[in-house]
Amino acid sequence: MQVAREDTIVARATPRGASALSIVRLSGPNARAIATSVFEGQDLQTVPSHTAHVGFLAGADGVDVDQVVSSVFVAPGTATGEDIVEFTCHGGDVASDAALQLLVRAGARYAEPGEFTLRAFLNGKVDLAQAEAIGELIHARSQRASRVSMAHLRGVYSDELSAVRSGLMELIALVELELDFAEEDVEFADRARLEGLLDGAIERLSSLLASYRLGAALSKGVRVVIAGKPNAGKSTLMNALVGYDRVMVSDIPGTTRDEVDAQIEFEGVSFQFVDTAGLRETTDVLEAEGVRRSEAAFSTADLILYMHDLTDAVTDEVQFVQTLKKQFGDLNVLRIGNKVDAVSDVQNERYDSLISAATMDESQLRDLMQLIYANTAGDVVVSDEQQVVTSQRHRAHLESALEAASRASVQLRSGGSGDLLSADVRVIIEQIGSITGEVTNEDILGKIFSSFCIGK
Amino acid sequence: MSALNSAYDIIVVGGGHAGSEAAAAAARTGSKTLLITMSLEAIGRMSCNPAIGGIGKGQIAREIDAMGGLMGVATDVSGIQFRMLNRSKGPAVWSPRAQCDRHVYAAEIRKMLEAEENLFMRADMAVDLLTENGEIRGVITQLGMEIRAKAVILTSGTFMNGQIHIGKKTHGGGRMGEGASVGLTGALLALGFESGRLKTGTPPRLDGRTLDYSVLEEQKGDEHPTPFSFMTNKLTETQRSCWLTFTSPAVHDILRTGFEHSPMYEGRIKGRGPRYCPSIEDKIDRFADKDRHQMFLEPEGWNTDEIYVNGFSTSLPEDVQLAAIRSVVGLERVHMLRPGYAIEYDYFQPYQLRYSLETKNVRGLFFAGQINGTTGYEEAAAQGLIAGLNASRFAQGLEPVVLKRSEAYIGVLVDDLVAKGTEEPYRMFTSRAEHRMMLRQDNADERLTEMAFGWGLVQEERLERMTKRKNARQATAKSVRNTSVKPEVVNPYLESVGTAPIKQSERIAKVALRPQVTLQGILEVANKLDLVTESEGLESITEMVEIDLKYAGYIERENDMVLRLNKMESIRLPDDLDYHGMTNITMEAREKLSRIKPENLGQASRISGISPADVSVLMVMLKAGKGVRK
Repeated sequence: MQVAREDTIVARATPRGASALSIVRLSGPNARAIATSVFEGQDLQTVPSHTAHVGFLAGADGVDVDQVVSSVFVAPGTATGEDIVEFTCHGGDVASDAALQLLVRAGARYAEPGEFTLRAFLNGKVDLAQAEAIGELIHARSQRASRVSMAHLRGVYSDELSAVRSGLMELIALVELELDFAEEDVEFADRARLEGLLDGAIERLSSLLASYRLGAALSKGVRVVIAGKPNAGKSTLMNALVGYDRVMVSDIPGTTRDEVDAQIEFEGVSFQFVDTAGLRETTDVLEAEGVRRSEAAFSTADLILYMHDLTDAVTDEVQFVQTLKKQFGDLNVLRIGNKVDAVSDVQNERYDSLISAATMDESQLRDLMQLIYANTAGDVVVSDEQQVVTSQRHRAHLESALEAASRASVQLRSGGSGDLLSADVRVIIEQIGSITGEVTNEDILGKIFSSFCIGK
Repeated sequence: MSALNSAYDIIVVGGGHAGSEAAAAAARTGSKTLLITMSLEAIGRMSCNPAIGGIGKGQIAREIDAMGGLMGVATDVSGIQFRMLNRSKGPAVWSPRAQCDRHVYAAEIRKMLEAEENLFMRADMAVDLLTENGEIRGVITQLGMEIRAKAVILTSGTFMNGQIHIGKKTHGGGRMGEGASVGLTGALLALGFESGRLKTGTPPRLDGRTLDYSVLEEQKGDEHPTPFSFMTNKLTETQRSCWLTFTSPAVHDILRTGFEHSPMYEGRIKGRGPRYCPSIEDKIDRFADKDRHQMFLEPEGWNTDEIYVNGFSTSLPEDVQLAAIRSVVGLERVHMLRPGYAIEYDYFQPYQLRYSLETKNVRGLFFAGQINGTTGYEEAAAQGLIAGLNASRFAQGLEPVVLKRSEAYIGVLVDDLVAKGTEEPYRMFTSRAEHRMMLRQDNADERLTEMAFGWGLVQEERLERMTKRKNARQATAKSVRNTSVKPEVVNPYLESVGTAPIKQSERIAKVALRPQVTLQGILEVANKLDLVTESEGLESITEMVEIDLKYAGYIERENDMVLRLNKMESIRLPDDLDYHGMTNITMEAREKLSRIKPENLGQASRISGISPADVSVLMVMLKAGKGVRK
């Protein structure tokens, strides 16, 4: 039984929607033959690798589908390790849809999600950790985020973790040896060295874990929910934010969450604002329909901006926050006092910031964004930005590794038995290995490749 | 050549530790079995140390017993001293060990074999195999008999072309005083097997009357010994002591004078080297900065003065042995009954076997024991039991049984052998098992007895006993979790063992978590011994519950790891996979995989030379063959 990969796959390489150009990509042993059969221009099977050619895509009936540029890459020096042909078509879905249909009729198969990267992996072009980084890179929301993903692609923090892991493996082998020769009463593993290694591991793991706050912010963005009574000024603030430089408005493609009203990039982090205006018409937070939609908003919030109209003597803020905390646990809340220019005395300590949403200028908006940033992504001091953990999967492994390292350290210092020490260190080794790709199992592979979308 | 009139289902060749277990297992599971062995008097004989168990080995012995094997029972009957090793360390590495009376042991094995209905014996030597179209048909013996069977198990131990070495003197023999077995190796080579040679050593035997006991340290057995067999209700009331002494730099110097004449001394071990130290020569070399090594002087039986020198395996010339021993404290005037010697013998790389221990070359032919390159009675017996069971199942057209690494040390043993082969005598260590917390000596029956009952290896009685013990354990754990103890009652005990007093009433289970505390101690001082549900047998339920409580976290984490790894074990690799055609794994990986043909991805990942990258690629390719995962 052979595991066959003889088919040639095709998929859109650019997202649907309006754009100047769209690209359709083929990979596989018959890529060039299939491409040639629908291309009117040079014979793509004979042109040199890494060259581009203008021509027309035409169906069997001879009718032109589009004028395109075809780029030919000949194996093995290609992204997937196979022959690749890319057709750069005119933008918009019509031309690329037609191109796809043409190519499928000519013998290509629609690719599955992540299949291009899968083939790259199978042909040794990328290892697992890199494949994972590619997935990250594709989803990067800002330059800062993509710089971090590029660093991951180059193996920046996994190299260091690998070294920690090797050191531990070496030492634990000696601890095991001691257990084997218990009757001889020998000590092979230098306890001081093991202590040093464990301390180093704990420090490294802790700092990587701490960086996740920033990492998650970089890769997924920060979700800020604006809450408050009606007329507290939520919409006003939202308008002010929308008018702020470099704002992108309207729906963000690919998100599975509910509507985001505005997205702002600040310090390389994408902040997604949700306005709860209109979600409740009464002061009763627990009103029926409002509840469902606000729950969705609050439960996924990274930060809540609670706005209070300073001219309103009555405030339900305390009660509001308490109710939320009871329902959703600990929440990150900033108290914003609005309409500050309309009141004379304000108790500053109650509020994190005092603004006048209707008249905010750019520098005041920047100050507000700075406050929001400092309370979310900026809450962490990261010495080297390349060493930031962005993946939830990695974070879970880091947590398990750190727990095990702490246990091992206690065992070691209390002179505990070598077999328990060894059990804990083995957990560290396995968990770190799951990050660096030295340990794989089906779950890990599944997680990595399932996060891809079609065409990657 | 004449053929025996009777036809057998199974023939077992060699009546040592592997052969006896194989024969018993085959017979008990319904196969008409013939045990052919060179000397019926030598059945169950211990070639070397008259002891069963030890680190890693004790666990195996208890697993054999849990599956109805002979070793545990024979040990309990013949034991003269019982000790649990590694008591000061965690329960995952507690290993039972017993010194036995070697004659009583062998007699007990023989007695149990003779009680098996389906088992017959014959004093003879197998010299050739009968095969047809790559399938076994039977054996041909030295006495000219052709005996037919559906399956044959070779458990020839150290006898195949055995050579005995003492210094430069060499003579043929499978064991001191017994002849070698010739003919079989040639027959196997003709069938396409590849063989190798291994050497293993044994220490000298001394006359106990010539020891100076006044300067030796006495080592007594445990006060409350743990039996090997889960069926034992009573162990010997008296125990014989062993005696401890040490070598010294002077002794080492004398030994070194003989190194160039030692066939066992392999030269300076570079780097980490093989873990098993076969001889005192290698020990001195390996642990060069130790100026003394332990020597245990162990009596060989109840009524004998013969002393076995544990820790002094050697094949140095006899005069060097004697001079060295006489420089040891307490042995200055010792008389040597027999010198230590090395035995060199044929073995067959176990990667030529399937996980069932059936050979890949010949259908129905099984190998078990030292022939596969292992050393130790326990390792041999374990393989014998598995081979006997699987040969029987083969004869009956059933699928073979393969124990997982997470189920038993025996699983680790077979997996290591078949996946990696071995270049030096393989013995079990606890470090070879990655699931030590689960594979403890105290829970072998809970892990294995029920399965063994399903395979026909054990009777109802043993299953009932295991179930009772398991229930007793759970009931005790429950009552201990639900009962509290007052500070004034338990604090004196806590302070006496050096741990902080409690301020308010606490559950007993919680107090028992402290490392310095024992559950027995708490129950005694609180007068709550009635919380313990007793069970038959000598195992301490209290101690087992304490282990469950104290190590719950570790046991749970290990369970999780097993679940994760089991998924790898469940990804099957078809027998006819063309590895050579897989250009995206390394050449070495392709070659190893084609040669060993692992049955699943988990086994593939353990083959040396297969990297994690290779495993990932394999995993993904197997999935890709059916369509990429979404």
